[in-house]
Amino acid sequence: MNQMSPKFIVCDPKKCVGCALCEQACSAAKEKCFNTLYSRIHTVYLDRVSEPILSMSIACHHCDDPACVKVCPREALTQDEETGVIIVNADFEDAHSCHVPCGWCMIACEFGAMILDPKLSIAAVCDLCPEDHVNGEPPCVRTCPYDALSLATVEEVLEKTENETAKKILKELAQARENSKTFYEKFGYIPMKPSREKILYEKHKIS
Amino acid sequence: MFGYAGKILHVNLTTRKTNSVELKEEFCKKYIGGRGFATGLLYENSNPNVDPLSPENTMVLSTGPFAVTPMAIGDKFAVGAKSPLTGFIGESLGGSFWSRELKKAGWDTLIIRGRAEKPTYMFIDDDIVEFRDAKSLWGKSPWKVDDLIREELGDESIRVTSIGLAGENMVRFANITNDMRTCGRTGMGAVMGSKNLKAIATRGTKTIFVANLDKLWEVALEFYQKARGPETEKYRVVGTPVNVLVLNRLGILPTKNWQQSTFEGVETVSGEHMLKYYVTNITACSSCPIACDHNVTVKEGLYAGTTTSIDYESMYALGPNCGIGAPDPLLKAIELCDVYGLDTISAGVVVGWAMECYEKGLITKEDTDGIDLRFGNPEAIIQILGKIARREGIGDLLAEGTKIASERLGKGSEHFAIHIKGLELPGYDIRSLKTAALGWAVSANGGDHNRSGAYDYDISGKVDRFKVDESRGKLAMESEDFAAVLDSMILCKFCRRLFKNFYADVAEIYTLITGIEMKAAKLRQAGERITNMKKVFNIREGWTRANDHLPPRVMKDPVSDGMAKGSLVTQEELDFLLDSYYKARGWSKDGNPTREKLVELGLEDRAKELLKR
Repeated sequence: MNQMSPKFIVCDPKKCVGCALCEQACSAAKEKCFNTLYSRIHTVYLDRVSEPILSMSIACHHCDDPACVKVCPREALTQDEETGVIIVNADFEDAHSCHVPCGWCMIACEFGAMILDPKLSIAAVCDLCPEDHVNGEPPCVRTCPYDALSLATVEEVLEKTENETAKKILKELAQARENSKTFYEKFGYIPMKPSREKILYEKHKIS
Repeated sequence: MFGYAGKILHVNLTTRKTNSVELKEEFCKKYIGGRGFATGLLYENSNPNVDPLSPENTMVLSTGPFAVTPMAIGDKFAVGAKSPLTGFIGESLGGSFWSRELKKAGWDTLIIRGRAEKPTYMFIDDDIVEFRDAKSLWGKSPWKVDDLIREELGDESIRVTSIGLAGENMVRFANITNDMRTCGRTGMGAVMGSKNLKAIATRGTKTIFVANLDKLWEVALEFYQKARGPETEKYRVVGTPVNVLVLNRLGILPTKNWQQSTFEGVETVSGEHMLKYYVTNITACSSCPIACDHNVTVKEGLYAGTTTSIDYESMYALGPNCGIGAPDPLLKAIELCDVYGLDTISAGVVVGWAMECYEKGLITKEDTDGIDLRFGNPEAIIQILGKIARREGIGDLLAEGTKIASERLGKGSEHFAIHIKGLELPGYDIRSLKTAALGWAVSANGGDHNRSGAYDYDISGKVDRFKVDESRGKLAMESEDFAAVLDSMILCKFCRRLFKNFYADVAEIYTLITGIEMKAAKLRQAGERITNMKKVFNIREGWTRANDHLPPRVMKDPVSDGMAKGSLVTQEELDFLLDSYYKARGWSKDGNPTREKLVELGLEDRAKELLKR
């Protein structure tokens, strides 16, 4: 880690229990409905982490030199210099708009943070809901009953957590922002995977 | 329609025909959803006096109006069918993501009839229903089936509910497993197995809208705060196994097939012991702010690698009730029940019964194929569970459940068969919990702590648990109707103490979600209607007052040890309690709902049918 990461939605994996209420909150905040397909945050199950951690929620990491921006063939994605938020150009008149859902950004994103908006058929990503903060907390953060989420830098969350495994995951997370491709290799997350005991079960290699 | 998906899916496995029926608002108001829908639709869509394990039996799986909203609290769904254990209505609830997907696919309720020609699994992909070959899944555990189906269909986000080996072999207390949570009671897995239906996979992309989103979020966020408060601490910290020591102290921890009410080796199977040495992490069902699921792993020794999740009922049934005081084999037994798809409560009680038979010489070592089926023998319980799931040797008898097994074996073993209406009892010794004894005796499901929580009154000291009085009928009724409303919304039982004015608060949330006007009194009446309908179903199946019974041991053998020593429920007490309950319900002395009562509840048609009989 060379410098502090920007602030984004960071999950303390030690506190996450995998209830996916953040997904519900996101879908309600963004589309006024309940359908996790609209959710910009995902509860994922970490299946290569030694116990006692099983799940965490992941949204956009506001990477330095983001892969999604680089890969877009229409140059429809840009990054806000100040906040690091990825901006999707949805102006259909514009030559550089996200128009044809090619999905390259979704493939390029290491964290599964880019989604395809099912209604508009364009890319969508966490923008930190700037218009919907209460006490500085966006909807997902204030919904989490377990206080696992915070709008903070990775370093701030690292300081608070005491669990060694959680620390290791968070450190990798910060690294991955700078050089994606390392996080999955180390921890292997599977988006939306349920069956928590099953993962535990496989860890202990019993038939 | 807000809150509800708005459609019911009818499936006939014999003809492979499906049919979509629109949900009527009138029906929603009457039966709310979840268990209410299961009860109402089961009655309308089934014929009386069919064999529960025949293609003629109907199975209903239903979500509630709260599912897929922030008030889902576990996203539970209810399963209902005629129970192979009791021959009466059987209902069970299970948590987690499966119901979320079903509702997002556009279906509130799934009604399954007939029998598939060969092992089949269903894939509900929004509006498309596929019947797929389950040959490669047959014999596999639900854990494996989850994986194989996702792999076959190529989508990790698909949710699966399935049965294990026990369900396939129609073990009468087989369960249905989804995301490792189970619909445990009343043998719903056997009904699914009898239909050659190995699993139901769902994937939904549709959207649920609610009537008043902003207000609902406000209420939900406030609710989450409460859900992290002292009322749920028990479930969050040690989990329900905290009951082991508490109930032992109160002398209501049934031990060695209810021969004792305290257990000498209780420390090592207590929740506190588990938390200290075995719990690896705590997880939650979907959309749940409580998180009660205590995952455990055995780290060393003979059973190293055993991984499961624990709760009080599993610990009681396979632990103290079978005399098992060693934690490792107990956890192994619970894991085996998960793998085979067995209801841990029924499995533990039937094994406990077999152990007593063995010690009394009614079953010999020859009968058990050499298993030394003594109380407390860890090897024995692990071997016998496999035999039950495979219906091998003596396992074939035990797979019939305590009621049928004891009737078939005879030799006086009926005396210590611990069941009500055929459903094995959960871990509360009702000899000194008189309100609970009534609640379970009259329960349409049989001995099921989830359909009547009357033990709450006894244990909390609101009433004298050793005595009976006129008030118990009303209490048992209230507890039943309360559970019916929780199970219909569906709200998890663990948030039952989080509402100040339960009916008013929940009615308000219901209106916020569905936009349908609902008041506390109407909601209370809906609970009463659902319980009455269950009774009507049972009467159609030939129920009489004699079916509201207690196990002979509870009425003849006084508690032998602990704080409640000497307690039992006499025939006079039971008759008195039954009278008080029927009276509180406004039913006849025989326990039949009266015409007036049914008309009052808007069940005129049912009243006509009952009178015809």
